[in-house]
Amino acid sequence: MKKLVYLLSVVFLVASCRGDMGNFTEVDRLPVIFPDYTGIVIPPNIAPLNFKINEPGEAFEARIYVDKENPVTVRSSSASIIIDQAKWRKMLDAGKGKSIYTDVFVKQKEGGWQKFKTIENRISEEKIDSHLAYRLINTGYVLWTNLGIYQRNLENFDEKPILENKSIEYGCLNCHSFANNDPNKFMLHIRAIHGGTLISKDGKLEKVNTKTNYTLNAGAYPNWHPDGKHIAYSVNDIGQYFCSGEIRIEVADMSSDLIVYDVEKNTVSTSAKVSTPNRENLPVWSPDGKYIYYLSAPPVRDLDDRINDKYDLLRIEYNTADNSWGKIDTVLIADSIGKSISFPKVTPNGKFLMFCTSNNGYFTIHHPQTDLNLLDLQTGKFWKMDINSDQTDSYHCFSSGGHWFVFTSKRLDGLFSRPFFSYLDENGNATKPFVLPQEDPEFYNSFIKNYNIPELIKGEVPFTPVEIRDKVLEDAIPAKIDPGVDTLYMKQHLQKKESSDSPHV
Amino acid sequence: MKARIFSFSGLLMSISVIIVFWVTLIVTEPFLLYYNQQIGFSVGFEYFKGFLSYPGGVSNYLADFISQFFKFNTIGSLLIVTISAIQGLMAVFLVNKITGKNRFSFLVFALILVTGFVLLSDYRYPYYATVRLLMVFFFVLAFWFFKNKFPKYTYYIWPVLAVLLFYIASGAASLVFGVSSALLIAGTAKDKKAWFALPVLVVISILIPLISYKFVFPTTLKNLFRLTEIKPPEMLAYSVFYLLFAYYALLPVLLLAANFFRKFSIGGQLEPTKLSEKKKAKITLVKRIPFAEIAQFLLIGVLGYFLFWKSFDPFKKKLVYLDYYAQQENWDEILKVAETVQVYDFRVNYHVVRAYANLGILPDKLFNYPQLLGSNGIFLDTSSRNGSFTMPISDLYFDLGFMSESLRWAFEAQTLLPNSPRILKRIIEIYVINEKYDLAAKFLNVLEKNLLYRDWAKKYRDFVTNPETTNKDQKIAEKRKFTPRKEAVNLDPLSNLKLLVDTNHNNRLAYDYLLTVCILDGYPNEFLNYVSHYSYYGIKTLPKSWEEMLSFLIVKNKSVPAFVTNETVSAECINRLKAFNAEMKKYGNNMEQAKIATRKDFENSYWYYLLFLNPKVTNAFNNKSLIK
Repeated sequence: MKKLVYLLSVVFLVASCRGDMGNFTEVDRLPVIFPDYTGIVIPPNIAPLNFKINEPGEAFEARIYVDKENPVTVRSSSASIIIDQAKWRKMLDAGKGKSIYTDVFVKQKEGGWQKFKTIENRISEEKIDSHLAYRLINTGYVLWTNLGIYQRNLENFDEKPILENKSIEYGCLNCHSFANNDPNKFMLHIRAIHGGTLISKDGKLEKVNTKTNYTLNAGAYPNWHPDGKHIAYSVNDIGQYFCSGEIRIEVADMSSDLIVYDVEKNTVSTSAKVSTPNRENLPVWSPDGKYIYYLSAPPVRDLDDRINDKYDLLRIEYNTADNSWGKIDTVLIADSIGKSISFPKVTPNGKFLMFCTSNNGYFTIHHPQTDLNLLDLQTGKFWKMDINSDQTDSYHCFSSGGHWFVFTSKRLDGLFSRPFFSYLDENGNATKPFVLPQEDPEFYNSFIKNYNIPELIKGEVPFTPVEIRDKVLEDAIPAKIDPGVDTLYMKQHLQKKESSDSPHV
Repeated sequence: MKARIFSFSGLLMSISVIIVFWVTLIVTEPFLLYYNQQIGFSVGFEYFKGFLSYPGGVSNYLADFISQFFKFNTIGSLLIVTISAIQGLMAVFLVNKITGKNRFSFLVFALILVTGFVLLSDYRYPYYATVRLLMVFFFVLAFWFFKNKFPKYTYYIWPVLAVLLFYIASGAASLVFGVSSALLIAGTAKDKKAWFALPVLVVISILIPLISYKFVFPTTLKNLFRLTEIKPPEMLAYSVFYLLFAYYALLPVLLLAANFFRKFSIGGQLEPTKLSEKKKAKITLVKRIPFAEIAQFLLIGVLGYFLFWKSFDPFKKKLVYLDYYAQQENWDEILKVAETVQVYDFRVNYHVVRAYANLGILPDKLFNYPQLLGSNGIFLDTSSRNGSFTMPISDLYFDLGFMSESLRWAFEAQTLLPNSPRILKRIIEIYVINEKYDLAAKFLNVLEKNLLYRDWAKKYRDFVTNPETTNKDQKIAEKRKFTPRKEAVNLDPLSNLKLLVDTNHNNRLAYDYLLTVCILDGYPNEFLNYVSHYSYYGIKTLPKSWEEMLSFLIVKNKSVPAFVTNETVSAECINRLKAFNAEMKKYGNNMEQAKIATRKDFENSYWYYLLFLNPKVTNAFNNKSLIK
């Protein structure tokens, strides 16, 4: 008898779960879902956009379709909508360039089903690079224990470490960078323990020390030349200042210069033009490799200068054949726009330059007022992008195809940085950004690490963490100074900087 | 007869378990270990997943699970003793498999029990070291079981177990397993060739971590072989102690001893029934007297006492207690504990001043504790070792109402101990105070995965769900009033305190700390400026340390500030200053003599501090003998 009751209950439950919802009432608004995947454009190779329906109810259903006759239906007693990966992939493959719709139904506790307005998104023709590399860090600014650089497959939910610092006695890892979105050509810095710069070159790893006797420091903020043989760096004397008020921390430099590291020759080049009393910073190559765009701020006189000065945008010619530095142009003056400029990046087609603006300094991630801007390099016209939020919108990286880009935003909660994606069209219009999809739609509600420096790459890094660890544990090969560098000038320049250093700034 | 002897050993084992439990409960107090290490176990796969990526992670996960219950002193003591007793019983079982029934069961059992318990007298001891060893015992036992059940497959089963154990409990454990299982093979085999298993299994036990290091796990070789992992933060960094090596060596040593016992005591015979009648009679005669067991009990008692005496540091326990009471805001207990510490210690200094301040007696009692480090003794954020005191620093700024600094240090702490309930609670409190309810909810989501803090989380979840109720909470309302909103760089304690006092004059705690910093580090202008507002706080006559500095400044500057009335400085203070001056004059330039002479009556005064204890005078930062 008990068995019969049990069997009947099961049959009833199955029938209830699979039952047709019958009539429903229509609600004349979009459903509230998290993450906000409404009105967006998505790449055809993105992982399922799982989401949570933030509407009261006791049963939930989502019908996702390109062609209404063949929807992918997810019904659940929980509000989390987890989409089958294979069905999603098939649907996106078939729907390139078309709209993709989501109908959300919610069954009320007392009453029937409600259907909300259909969510319409669009699938772009252009794929996004398949992987995203980033560092995951806690919110501490001085101390660290566990941190690592990871690669996430954007086509599914697989995340693998490139290197975790527990492999290298808890040294600090930072500033990973890839040449042309190529996972075979990358570099990352290791600090504190086993320090140096790891560079992958011709399928091999090398660890170098880019500090020379004639340059301020080892290379810090990197950018690869399109030829994959040179890396531009700023060399910085960095400090942190903790604040009360909305901005909790300021990262500001006492001094900084530029260098170019020749990967093949293991030499460092610099010039009196980019090693001035001014603070040259954050170099980035033009796609044709002929120019380095960079920031520049006046020399520091006091703490106020150090923190509150604004950075201009300049560019300098560079010839990789002989590692020579050419003419400097001023691209954008900070005072003319009333903002400090940071993180310039040129689109792969060379048409636009995307940059951040903030009230002061260059380390924008801690400034809630930081916004992304676009400069038309042909017309010189620039504008604040529509994709900005009232929280930090900062570090960005373009996909190799040139249209998709990722940027770091704190818009979800004002504290944690998350990667958001957007599509930039030929005219410089960007679509509504969406956050990196996660298998668990509630992931971001309890994940308390930051995504730092998201970099799009075309595949998985070909080295295992074991191989990378073994190289990191080796001694770094010291870089040499390029014979073309005016070493006498550089000595004097460094002496001047040392003498102007004061504990008050 | 055998049964009687066995019962006597069993009785002694039970007594030893009770004694160890009692000492653990009363003296070691596992809850202190819990608070010192800020153990935070979370339910859910996300937390567990992090432990799967490295050898030993599974044991670490289990250890976190078990040691979270150390929060409750009795349950913690029970768990510690139970796990050590289980290890001891397994060791007895394994030794008996080699020797047959013997009279050393108690010794075997108690050695492991006592060692396991003594290790916990260091409050930084990572409990996973015990759990990893527990895994070794289980695996050796499992190996013995499989070896007997499937003797043909012994050498196939062993590598499987060795690799599995290496993954669960890391390299040191697999090495102990290798040696122990080899000794078990040798000890239970009839053929002496079985001893060849020892070098072979040892080599394989070493090779497993080496191979995994080279090809599988991107960890460090040191951490694969060490008994405890090298990992920040410093405050939890346990220095491996000889006793831990002994603990890991016990099982192999006991099994080796059992092999010798078997060889020499019973002529290498495994079955007691094969003994000659003469030998049997001798053994039976000895067994009639439980002398051996009593001797073992006494030996273990002496050894246990000696080991505990050598390992247990009451001073360190007091330091843990101070931090624990500070967490509980039990200021009176802090002062009671501090009174029992006879030497200067900057951590005691920090907690005592915080207790004085919270009890409202800081201005009067400041120099009751020698302020050898000036303001560096009361603000640890300026110390080069601040990474070890992130939460105490956060706590102080929280007391003071400086939410941005408190949050900053809480985040530094959270970086080191991501799941610490203490830290998560602090971050949640601050976000509720700052009215950032979404962020408070995010950290509540994390804290709610800790089974032991759901009640606390519920209270704050209610605040997040109904923000209007926060205004009724006195603490939250007060902190909101005190926290500075002005955009400013938090340069140093002095400027931070000035900002706090300027933000809200009712912040009396900040006012007391500000004047204390002015007094300790010698900022006369700031002192005069801020002390002039004393009447705002309903004060008529200045408290001791303030009036002592003010009287000194009046004498030094030969002018009386406008705010000073007849009541501002007490007559007693003026008389004491005169007496101090008179005493000092007697010794002219002989400061050493003057210091000795004035010590008795003036040691607790500002003047004595200024002339003899001030770090600028003592050069304390370069003279480590002054500071423990």
